[in-house]
Amino acid sequence: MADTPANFASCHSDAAGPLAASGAPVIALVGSPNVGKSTLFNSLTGAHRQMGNWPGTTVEVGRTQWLLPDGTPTALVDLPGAYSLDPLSPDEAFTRSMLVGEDPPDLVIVTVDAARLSRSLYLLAQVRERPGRVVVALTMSDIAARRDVEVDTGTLAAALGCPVVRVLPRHGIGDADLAHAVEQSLHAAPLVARETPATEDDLEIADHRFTWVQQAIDAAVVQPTTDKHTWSDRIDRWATAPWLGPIIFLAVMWMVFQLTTTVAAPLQDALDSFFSGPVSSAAITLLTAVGLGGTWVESFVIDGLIGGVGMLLTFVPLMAIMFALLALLEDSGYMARAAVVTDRTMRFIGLPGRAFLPLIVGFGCNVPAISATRVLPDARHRVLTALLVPFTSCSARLAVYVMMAATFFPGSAGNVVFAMYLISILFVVLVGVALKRTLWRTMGREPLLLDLPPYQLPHLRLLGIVTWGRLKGFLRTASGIIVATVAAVWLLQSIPVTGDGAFADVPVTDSAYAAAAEAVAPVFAPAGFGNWQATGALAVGFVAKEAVISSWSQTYAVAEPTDLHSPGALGDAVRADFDASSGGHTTAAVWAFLVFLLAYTPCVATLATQWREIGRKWTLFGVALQLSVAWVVAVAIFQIGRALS
Amino acid sequence: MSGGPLRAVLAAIDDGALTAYEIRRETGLPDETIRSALEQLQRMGRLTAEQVEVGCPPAGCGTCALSTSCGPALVGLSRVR
Repeated sequence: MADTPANFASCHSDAAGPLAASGAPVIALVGSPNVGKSTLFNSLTGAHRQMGNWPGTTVEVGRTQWLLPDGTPTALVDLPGAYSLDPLSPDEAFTRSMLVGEDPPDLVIVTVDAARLSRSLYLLAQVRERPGRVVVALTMSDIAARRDVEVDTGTLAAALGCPVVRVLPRHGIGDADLAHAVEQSLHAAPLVARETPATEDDLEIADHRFTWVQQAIDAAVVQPTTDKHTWSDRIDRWATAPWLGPIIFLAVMWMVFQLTTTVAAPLQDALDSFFSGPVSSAAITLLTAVGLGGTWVESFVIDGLIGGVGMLLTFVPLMAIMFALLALLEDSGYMARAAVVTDRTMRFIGLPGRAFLPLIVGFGCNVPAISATRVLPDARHRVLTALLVPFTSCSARLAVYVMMAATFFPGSAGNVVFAMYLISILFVVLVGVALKRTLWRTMGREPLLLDLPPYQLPHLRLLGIVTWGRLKGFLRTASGIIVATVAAVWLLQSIPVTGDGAFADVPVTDSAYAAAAEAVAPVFAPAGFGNWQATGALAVGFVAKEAVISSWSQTYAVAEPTDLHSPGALGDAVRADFDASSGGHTTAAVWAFLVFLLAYTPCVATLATQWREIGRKWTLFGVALQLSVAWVVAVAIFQIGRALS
Repeated sequence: MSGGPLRAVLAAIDDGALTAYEIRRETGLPDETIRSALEQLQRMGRLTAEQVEVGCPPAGCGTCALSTSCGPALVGLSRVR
């Protein structure tokens, strides 16, 4: 590069300066992005530059004439930022071609960030592997000083084997010194290339460069004996510690569930009263006024839509509080630490570290979690993780937990919900270990490093946006798939199969819904909830877990329409049936039901996604696994609970 | 520290270090060097990076209450052999 090209495709200029005459020394200005290279270029040349694409490329390069102190005109070329001469982008490839091509510049100024020496000296290490004239322009020393990092330029120059000039281009400080250093270097012989290892191993070569850089830093940089521990570091010492981390995580989640259930309870009761009282009454009045009172339309609206969807909507305050608290944890950066804790647990039990990524997502929703298994490069990891995801307790199951907990354990609903999440984790661990020790015994480990974002004060506006976004998702579910499910359940409950009833005027016990559920209910008798009402709700729960609540509400609204017009009546009705089906061992039956609900197939959307991701065979295996685990554990819980009580 | 900083960082990851803080504890290298080494290892294809969604996936099931938000910028760096 003895000369800059005459056909340099100038497209614009900051302030069109003169171009150096042909034969003038060419000086290339290089450096990593954001080290102040272009600011230095402007400071040296008074911002007189011509910008344009280098001939034959689309890479934009700035150049201008730069006069040295002795009056020598040079062509200063501002090459694109590059972290390394092993290019990953067209810009880096261009910079490499300019520096190590057949016609290299007469001198290279490597711009180096004093506050980030390790990063920016790697490029210098590569430049110094070839003979040539090199001057280091050390920028950002003011920022380094604020971090108590002091760089001795003389020692650094000795370690690097080339001149080092401190510059602060924003203030024009050091420009003259740099010009002098360049002038002297141009008059001196090119530097001898630094020694490199005789190997083709790219890791060894790169490591050698890092060692060279580190030795220079160790020699020339005075910095605090230990890196300053940030607040994030200090908190992380505890939050991600192997034993304390999980305890802190569990404590945080316990507080979330306590707050959620405690604060939401009165709001939920108020909404329950609202839907079962004024809304139902107004709907009946309206339907009667238009001549639809006592018809199947009234049945559908009151028992179906208001009874089913309305009951689900009473959970809006609960979900809103839950989503807000989770958003708070995420925005503060804590949930990233929870990921570390989870990952460590995965490794501890011998599961692949990366499996935790989809599993964490699964606690929100199983469907994207299964899609997220694509991040796992090994097919066996993907299948194993996709089989474990349904055991993570998604947010849809939360509403059912809360309803059951508020009904049967009103004083400790938060603890019950928290326990369900613990059981969910236990399922993931135990089923994972079991599968790994049977089907995937040879699966290797896969190290993973997590780059944690720093803790930050949550942004109220962002919390509001995230909470509302998720609440909209909940409402969309309630207004979409749940309405469709409610309609289907209502239809099945309106079709008489026994007795004398007519369509939409039939006791629910005589309906197709009850008949079908009754046929399956004995399967759950050993688990203490072998009644058709619970069985029907679980069957509907295959569609979506929120539908368990709506179908239950519909069932009891049809059975006892008047009684349900009082707050908490649904819970009373459910309690009566659990009392009956469990032979008085209600608590054991409720826990068995909750665990079954947690462990059996989450929803049809999850099944469809599993089918797509891991194929029919493994999906069916997964369904069988979930149902088997759910049933066996539910029966065990009930039988042990009954024996102990 | 076996070898130079790059090998030391890789060894720490292989030994189970989960965060930059843990690498620092194991290698004694300055933060800046660790950050730089991690970036270099990514450039060399020895580590792959991906954003980790924690709790709120950007895409997913239309019936999912969590399908519309995005997570914090937690980045997972996976070892490539």
